[in-house]
Amino acid sequence: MRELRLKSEMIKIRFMLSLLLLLAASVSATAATLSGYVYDRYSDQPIVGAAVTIEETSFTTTTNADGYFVFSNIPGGIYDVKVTFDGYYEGYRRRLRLGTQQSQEIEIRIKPITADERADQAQAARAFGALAGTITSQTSGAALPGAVVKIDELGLGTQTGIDGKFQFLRLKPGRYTIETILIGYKQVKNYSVDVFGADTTDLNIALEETVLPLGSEVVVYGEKPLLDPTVPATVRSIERQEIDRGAARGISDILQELPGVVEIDNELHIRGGRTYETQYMVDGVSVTDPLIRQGYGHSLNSGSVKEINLYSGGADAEFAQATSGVVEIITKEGQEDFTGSINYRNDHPFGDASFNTDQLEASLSGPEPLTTRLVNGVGLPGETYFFASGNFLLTDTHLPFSTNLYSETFGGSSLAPRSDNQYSGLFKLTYKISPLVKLSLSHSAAATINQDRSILETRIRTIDFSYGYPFEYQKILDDYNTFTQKSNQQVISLDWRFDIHKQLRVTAARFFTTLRSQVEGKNWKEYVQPIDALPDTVLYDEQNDIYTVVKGDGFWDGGDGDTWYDHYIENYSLKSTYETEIEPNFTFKTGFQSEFQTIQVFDLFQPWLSESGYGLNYDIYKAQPSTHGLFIQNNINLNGLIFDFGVRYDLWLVGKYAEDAFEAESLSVLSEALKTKFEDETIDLFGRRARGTFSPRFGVSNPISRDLTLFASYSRFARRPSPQYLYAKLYTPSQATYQLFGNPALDYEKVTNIEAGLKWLPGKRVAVGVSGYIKYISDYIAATSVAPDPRFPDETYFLYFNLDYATSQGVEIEYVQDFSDIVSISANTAFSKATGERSLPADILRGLETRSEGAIYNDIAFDWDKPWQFILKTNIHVEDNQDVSFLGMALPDDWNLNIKFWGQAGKRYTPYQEAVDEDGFQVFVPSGETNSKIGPWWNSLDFAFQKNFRLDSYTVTLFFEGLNLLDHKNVTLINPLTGDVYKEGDTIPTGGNLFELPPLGYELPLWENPTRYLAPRQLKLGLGVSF
Amino acid sequence: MRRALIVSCTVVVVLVLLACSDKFKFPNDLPEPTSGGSFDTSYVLVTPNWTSANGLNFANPNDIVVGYDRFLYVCDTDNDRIVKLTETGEFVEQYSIVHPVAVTQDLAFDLIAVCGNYMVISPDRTDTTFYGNAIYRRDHSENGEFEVVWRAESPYDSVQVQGGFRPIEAEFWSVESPLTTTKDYYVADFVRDEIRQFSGIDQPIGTLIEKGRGVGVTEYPVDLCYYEIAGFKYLVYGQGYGNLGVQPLTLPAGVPLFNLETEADTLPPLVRFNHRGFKDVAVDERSNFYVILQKLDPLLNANLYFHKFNRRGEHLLSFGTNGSGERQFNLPGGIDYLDGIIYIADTGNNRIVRYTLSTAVRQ
Repeated sequence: MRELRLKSEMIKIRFMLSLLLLLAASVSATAATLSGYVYDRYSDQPIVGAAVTIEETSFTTTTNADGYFVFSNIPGGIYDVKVTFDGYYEGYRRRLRLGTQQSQEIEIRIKPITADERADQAQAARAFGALAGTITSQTSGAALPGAVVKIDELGLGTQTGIDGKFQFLRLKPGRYTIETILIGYKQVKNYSVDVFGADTTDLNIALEETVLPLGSEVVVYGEKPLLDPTVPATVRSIERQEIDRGAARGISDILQELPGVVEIDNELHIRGGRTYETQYMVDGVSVTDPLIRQGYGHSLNSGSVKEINLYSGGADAEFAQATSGVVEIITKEGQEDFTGSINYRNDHPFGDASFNTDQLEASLSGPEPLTTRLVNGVGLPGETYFFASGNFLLTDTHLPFSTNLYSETFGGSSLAPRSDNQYSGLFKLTYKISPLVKLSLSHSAAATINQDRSILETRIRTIDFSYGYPFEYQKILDDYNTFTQKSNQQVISLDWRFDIHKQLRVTAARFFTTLRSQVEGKNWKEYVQPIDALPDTVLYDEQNDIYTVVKGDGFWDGGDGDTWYDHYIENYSLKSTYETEIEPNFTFKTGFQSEFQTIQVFDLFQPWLSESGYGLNYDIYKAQPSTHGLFIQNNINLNGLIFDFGVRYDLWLVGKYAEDAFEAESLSVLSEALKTKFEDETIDLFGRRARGTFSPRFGVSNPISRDLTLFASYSRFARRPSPQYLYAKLYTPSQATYQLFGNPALDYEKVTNIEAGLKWLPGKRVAVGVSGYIKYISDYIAATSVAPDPRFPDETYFLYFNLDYATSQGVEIEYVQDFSDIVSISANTAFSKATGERSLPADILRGLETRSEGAIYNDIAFDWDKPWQFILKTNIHVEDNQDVSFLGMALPDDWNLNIKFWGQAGKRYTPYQEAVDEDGFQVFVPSGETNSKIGPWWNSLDFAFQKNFRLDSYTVTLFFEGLNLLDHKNVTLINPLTGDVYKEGDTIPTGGNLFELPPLGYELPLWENPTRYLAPRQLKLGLGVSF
Repeated sequence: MRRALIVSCTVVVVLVLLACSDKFKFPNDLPEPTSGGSFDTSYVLVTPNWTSANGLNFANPNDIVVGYDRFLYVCDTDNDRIVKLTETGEFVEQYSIVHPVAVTQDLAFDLIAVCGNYMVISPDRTDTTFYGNAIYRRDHSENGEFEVVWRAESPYDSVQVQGGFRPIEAEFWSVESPLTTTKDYYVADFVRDEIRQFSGIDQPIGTLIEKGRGVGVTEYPVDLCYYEIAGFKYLVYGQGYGNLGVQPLTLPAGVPLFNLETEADTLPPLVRFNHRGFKDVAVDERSNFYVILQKLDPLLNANLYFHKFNRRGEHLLSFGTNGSGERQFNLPGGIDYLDGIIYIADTGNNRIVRYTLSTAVRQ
């Protein structure tokens, strides 16, 4: 068996290698000769002195007295040849294919400009503006012919002539981004270039030479627009500088600062979606783990991140498996400069504001001489660069988790000295083979050890489940489970630019993530049932010779945690995208993606129960699904009116494990009707059943004035259900009452996302963005009760179906303004409503109600729905040697202060009231609709201060950071009788709805649950050195 | 280029292979794939079963009782001992007593036990020693052994035994403390068909429930169980001819807590079995009743040992066929309840088994 598995692994690896080698083998360079004549289109006279240019190259010449020109030693390829001559329109010969050692002669005829046309141009010049300039070499000062100059917003492009000059005529007045590209030089972006009517804006650019691949380095001039008006959707980017200026935090904390992103119980919800609907990608490769509640299976530290992009509205057809948003993390890579940093922070000096936290981040990057010598030594060109980063974060948190954790899968107890222990590292090697070809290899790994049980997506969340804290084990936390999450990712990526306009990227990757939860490294057979054993108090009344026994307090006094769990997911993926700029205003992108996955789950609940040896409830499966997708994406820019449209087609193979379940006669949970449905809805693909879906995407942005752009998008997304909804318990029904069975006949969950908004940039440094959206979610997964045999209506069980519908709608407003070089502010607010029939697929257990398929749809607000939220941020940044004063007092230089205040609606809850049942017993009944009430609002004031001290090439940085500075009590556990936090002496309502009330007989003092509030104030000091 | 790719890929492959070792391997003894089933609420065995205490295997344990002190007391009948265990089955102490079949504990932590119909006939058959007509007490404050604190003196009736008839004036099958400060207790007298009340100093006070077949009377009482609901006290008694009765010890004012068939009936038989195998009853904090039969009788449709009823006497579920596996019993003798766990003295299998509801939700 093991050999078979190994063989399977090797086959996958060989497949990846073969594809990459195939691509590499096709890389070749040959020389050709091109000659030809240039004539007047009407008179057939040769044009003397016309400039002839092979675009995207430095080949340029002029015609002789015969109108003749010639180029020699041109590399084989496909080219556009351009002719310019005063008094004539530009002439082109497009897509000229030059083969190996080929000589080719061509003829180009150019059209003269008539007198009337000249007059029209002169008039237009008064209504329109123009942009002109010269591109030169920064080193030599020489003019650079053949450089491509583009206006991003308008989709216009031109090429410099032999004198290095370029010009754009008839430009609408406006503010533009000018991009200059030439192979062998660093790319330059000039932001916010103003063009006025009846005027020509001069723009002269000096390009800096580089040996790095095209696009590796971008030199930026001017201020980047605070919102990008060319993107017809809501895409929010957080760049390195912004990450550095805030308090040190994880990626999920960074994402929370964006409108429409809400965190409740350690889960991120984007625009009202369920957690698992978000797609997390690192360097273009999915790192989503649908079996953990947080959704992302690869917890990289923010120090290794170059940029984070959140696509919360429409997204390109390139993205799959995301019905609620895409989080794209781009990691850093090494550059020519040798840089490094090491930062250490802790909160020890701050007494009550300390969680016993230590955090270390280190990174190093630059040229990698050893590998460079190695590859050069074997005759290969190019240079290699590396980036390495490592991080650990050790903290006892604000919750009383155990400090004696033991992880059987990661270092025993030696790597778990605190309650929450996080490690991550990234090593990336970039082999820059030529200016057009780059190969990247990366290996990253992360591990987390703690007792946060909320990580298990396969568990339901009862009312006291707050933040995964095992409150009932509070007295024996050492005997509760340790959760160890480990992940690693290997990515090999080839970026191959055929020329400035065409690019191929091939990425082969492996992603592995695993989660183990067990008590002190025990086997499940060693687990002991927890007990609230001995009475806490025995009082003796000597006079009456009687004892008074005070019952246990409801906390477990002995025994073990209730779970033994292990899962792993291993993904092998291959993705290729090809992008070409067919015209300066028309970009076409296409690609495919294949992913082969192995999912193994071993999940035991209450292992001390049942003679089976596997507990009250267990789930054991290993499935191997795969997905394959094709997409095309187009971008057309019609003088500023931008159309984005694309479509993707996905195929999903649920795998042999699930298909066999339909054939297994002994498994009664899958009926004949389900089998028929599955066969009807799937197609045969190489002997396996595959399910396909189309997802069209469309977006448009229209600049209706110089400052204002409107945009709208329509997108369809599809997401295959998470593994537990497909495979759970297919072969392992146990004695538990509430078992939720997977259904391999499930279809994709589908989302239609409609978004419209505006981007208003009234000044260079001020921007306002408004977007409204509505998402219709169909075929949402939900479990329901089924009775497979009508003869036995009492024999029912819970099975997942594509049953639910949901909607999410809202408005998001952003405002950004830089008041000066020093002070900038930003604010955003969001109003939203996410409703559906039930919050989660397992909500069938909510009150244990049942509902048959097709029953009437009834809206409730989702558990995580936050009707409003806002964030206000101010950043004060003083550069080195910058003179700044405040109220006449000179301030020191070289520091940064970032202040953030955020607020949002409180947690939703269902109100309850006391009542008496027919037998006279006290009961608690809902006094309002599910989730109809909102608890006290949440807010927090955070800050991060950094002061730099320059010592030669070193910079020493002092950090001082604070979270929840006002120590606001953000309520997470709400008493549904009072609508406020549980307070001592409160009646604790109990009942059958475990999601809203503790169970009958619940005795724990919820007012002592440390998770009833979010984290209190925390202050941190730190010191860093960088060079 | 090609060589560069080969070098690069080799590095990746090594990393991949190194990382593969993280995979958990399924154990070899996985359960066989099984069919669905009904997945209704049921009781699940808590493992392991308890088969011994203090190095001695249980021998016909007739009863298990949750004491007032929240320890468990097992009447290890044929080993002539009562064993004190923790909730997790750890041995604490044991007390010698001949053939105990039922035990209770009062507010002073004293143990009071009875011995059923046990008697010993001398080898020459001339003398018979009766144990079932006496009440035994272990005084907690003296930390001593069980002693006889009351014994019937006058002949009341006679039953046929091997070799002739024996006189008998009482045969105690069950004893229960209502946890009063006076330390009174009740004894089920199987032969006299009555439930008798004794004082805290072991003197008969009177008859709580008299002989008779019908509402408010008893016949062949075999077990007693005291419980409280909403501050009111009740005694449920099992009867050999097959039903349960509930005796309110403090009557609630106004509307009775139980739905009576007629308002005049203050002592309704809540549950009726068409069978005489009834043996023991326990009540949980929500006043659900747990009943075990000692014998099955398919002819009378008594096919399962364990039965659960709600406080209105409505049947909830049953399980327990004859055997020694999970959810099987062999002449079970005692049952009690504590914190969601049902403890059953599986007498014929010489073990104590525990069951809990299957309704726990994974979280």
